[in-house]
Amino acid sequence: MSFAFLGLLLLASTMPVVGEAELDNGLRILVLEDHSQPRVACKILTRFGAIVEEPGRFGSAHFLEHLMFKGTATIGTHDWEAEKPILDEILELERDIIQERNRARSEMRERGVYHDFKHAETTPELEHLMSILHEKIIEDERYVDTEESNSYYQRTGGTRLTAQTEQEYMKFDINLPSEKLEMFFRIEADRMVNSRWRRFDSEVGILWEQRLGDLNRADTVFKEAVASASGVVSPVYWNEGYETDFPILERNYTRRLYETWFVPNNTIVVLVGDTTLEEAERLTKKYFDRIPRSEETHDTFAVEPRPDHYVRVEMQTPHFGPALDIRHRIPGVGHPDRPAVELLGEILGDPRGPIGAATVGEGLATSLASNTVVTHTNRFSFPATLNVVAHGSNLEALEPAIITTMESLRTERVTDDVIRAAKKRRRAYWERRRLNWDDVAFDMGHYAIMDSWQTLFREMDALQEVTADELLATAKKYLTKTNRIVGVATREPVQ
Amino acid sequence: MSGGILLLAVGVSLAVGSAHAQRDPIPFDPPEAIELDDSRFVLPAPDDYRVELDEGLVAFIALDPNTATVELTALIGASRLDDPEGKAGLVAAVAYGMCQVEGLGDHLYAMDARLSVTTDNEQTRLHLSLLTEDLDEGIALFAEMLKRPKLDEATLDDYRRAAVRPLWNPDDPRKRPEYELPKLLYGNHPAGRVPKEASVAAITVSNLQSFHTQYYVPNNVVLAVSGGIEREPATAALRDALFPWKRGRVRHADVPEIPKATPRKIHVWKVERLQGWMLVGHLGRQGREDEHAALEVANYILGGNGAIWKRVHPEIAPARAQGHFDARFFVESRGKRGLSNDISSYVPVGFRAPALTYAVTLGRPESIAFLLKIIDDEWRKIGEDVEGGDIEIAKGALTQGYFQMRYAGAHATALSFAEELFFEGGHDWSEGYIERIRAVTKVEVLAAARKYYRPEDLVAVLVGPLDQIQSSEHPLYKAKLEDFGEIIVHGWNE
Repeated sequence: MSFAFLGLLLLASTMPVVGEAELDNGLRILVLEDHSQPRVACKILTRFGAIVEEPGRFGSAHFLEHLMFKGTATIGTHDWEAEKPILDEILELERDIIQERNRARSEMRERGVYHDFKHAETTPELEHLMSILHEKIIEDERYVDTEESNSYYQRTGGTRLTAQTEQEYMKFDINLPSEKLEMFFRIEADRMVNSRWRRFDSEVGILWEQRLGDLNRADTVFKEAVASASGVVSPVYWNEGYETDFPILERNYTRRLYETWFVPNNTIVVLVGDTTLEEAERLTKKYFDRIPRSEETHDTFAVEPRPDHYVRVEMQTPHFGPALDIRHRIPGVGHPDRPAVELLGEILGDPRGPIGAATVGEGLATSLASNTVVTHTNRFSFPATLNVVAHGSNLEALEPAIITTMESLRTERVTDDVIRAAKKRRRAYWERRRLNWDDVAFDMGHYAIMDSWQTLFREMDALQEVTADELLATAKKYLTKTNRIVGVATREPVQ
Repeated sequence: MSGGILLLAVGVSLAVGSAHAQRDPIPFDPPEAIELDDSRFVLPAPDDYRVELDEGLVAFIALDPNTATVELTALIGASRLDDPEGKAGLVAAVAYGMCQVEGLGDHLYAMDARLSVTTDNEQTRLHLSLLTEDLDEGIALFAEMLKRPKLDEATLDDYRRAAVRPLWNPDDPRKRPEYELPKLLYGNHPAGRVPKEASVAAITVSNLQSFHTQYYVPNNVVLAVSGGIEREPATAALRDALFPWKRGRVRHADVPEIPKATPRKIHVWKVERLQGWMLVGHLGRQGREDEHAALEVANYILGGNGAIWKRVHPEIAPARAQGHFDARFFVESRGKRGLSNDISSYVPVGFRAPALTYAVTLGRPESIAFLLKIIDDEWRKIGEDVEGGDIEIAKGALTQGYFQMRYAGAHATALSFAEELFFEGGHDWSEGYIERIRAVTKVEVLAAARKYYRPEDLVAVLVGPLDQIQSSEHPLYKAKLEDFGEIIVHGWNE
């Protein structure tokens, strides 16, 4: 496997010419030129995400992204000099509130009435501090103009302004007319170093709304349950925030995250479109050079141990099912097995492939799909799963049909026709995706965060060269029972 | 806004709670100080892409030498408005027949092609996306679907079963408002009719065939072709695949006046979920008038959506097209109050019948009544005052943002030109768009807003947990659904 992969590195037939540069402070720049349209897809990605959260603070990384839309010390305020002491006081007050809560709880615990504290979560001092905090927040509102920061992008023709936080990255996106590119560097350098937390509590309401939106999808809880059973220590299997986490989100904690991780030596700027590396370097230096390199950030310390057990998750709910979600742990991006694993995933989800024939073809499944889309860096040992999801009313017949076919893939070669079709689907997927510069810029940045941008293209090339023998070896290695998590959802009320 | 801020209790954190001194800011010049060049955007010329095929068929062909895909789109002048009285669903049945051509599934699988077929009040749309290496097979399939859909008894039986299948499962009720609001606002007008058991039972194979004969003719179709294919070979391939194909005499059904819906009602479909989904609107616009540019500016300020340019479903534009975070709806509901993750407004244009002007939002039960109040209030206020700065932001966003994106790439360009010809008969609006938007004045924005946002005509559709919505109250933002109007509860299976 590794020979094939390494050999293909040299071919790299789809490898584009990408300009690369790095500032003295460690900020990296990737530029893929395309002058067919006078626009540039702009991304700034930071190697930071939910994997740095602690239990009880899930959702903080995502929330930080929301807070970074609330303006800076230079934008989003009517009078920074007047507002600054108020924002400082708000942080101090929150610290005092937390101290008072901890003090009260410690007192209660010493008296052995901890549970009483849970029923009366306040003290006179706490109420006093909370009322001052409330006053300060209202006072700050006089200076707030959070819409201002976005308006610079709007007025210059910026579209697709958005941001996203996943487990390993946070990114901010804008698509600008190329002559307005400088605005991206001005806004994003400021955002990286000068963001301030405004309208914090109302933004918690939005996090809540987004979580409720997730929960309104019938399969969310099932997917999360299967994911959380798929690993032991790796945070990639943790959910990104529960409603129980949101009331205790803190300004001080999120600021620590911000100031630790949002540093130039942990950040990549990716541009695709009507610009050049020289132009990008000039603008990057103009705005980011003033931000000093900071202490190097660290990876998560959790490394998933090699799996040696079979896991089964059964969910009974009136809202979802019957369905199966069968997962196998797989290596991350950059691992030499990854191209074959991707191709194997494509084949497992093919409604006309071996599993499709045994399930959809036999009338046992109404739908079949697979994905390995959530990709993670390989440095966490087993950081991802290959998922096969099937729906059908008779799970007792459907599950053995899938498992038996998976087992057969460990001993029998997949036909050339099935492999050819799977390779074509992956090729078509990429050809469609690369029509959109924003998608290409994201993919390059995402891979650069996880491994290297070149890996994106190398893996695509390598996937096209995977042989039937390599697939067989890959199935034999990964589709084992001790590497398997089976999720079963049945639709029935819980008595 | 003072006092109007949501303050949540800081919870029982186990944190040590050390305050974090904020870094001192690093100075930057104001963004206004940046000297930015004028726009480099040049509107492509439609004639550079236009190809006159035979028998009145026009195609817009755009080459993208860097792609290995081809996108084929046919805009067909056959809409729900052409369904005969008592036979609602006929246009959809013919479109369904396109998806039943012999071996379609095998072809799509072999090519890994993407197919979509839709019908609405303005059009039937066929779109096929494929790899360039499959162009011959793809164009042949495309032509077969257009010219020889499977219109027989078996197709009709299948369609009848599919058409009357219950659309709404409580597992996924989110899209139901988009289905119900048009029905309420168009009433029994052809624009609002949906297929029923009796109407699809009344359709015959002969109806299918004669409908196809009348409407699926080259002079009633506009094509958009883009991707990895040069203009000359694309033209030749289209000619080979599509012709002979005889032009026909197309007579569209007369469209009657739309009776006015009873306004200020909240139509509710109860479902036990964690949020409610809401669509609020009234009848909108048909054709473009002089005020259209001013209305686009007004809508950008109000609800912030660029979907004014998207006409895939003219009466209900895609709800999550490109919005922005600074529209009045967004600021009032999300930025200041944290009530909703998404709220936008749309002013699409209908050409054969009025489209709908509407707002869309969602939120947790205690937020819903206040969200409705925000929509109602802002629908009125936008006609009372707008700031000059907001108008300038809107102009920049519309002319340098959304409008440019209509021509960003080969497919967008070919499709935009095809739509302009198909819906509007030409490219005048687009060619003068930038100048029109730039010339809009504050007086015009206010006049257009007062004319086209009519709070007194609003109708609301709410899908959600009504009992919770009525019994819960937001601690700060208090409102009642009844403040808007009478609540009418519908059965889920209605």
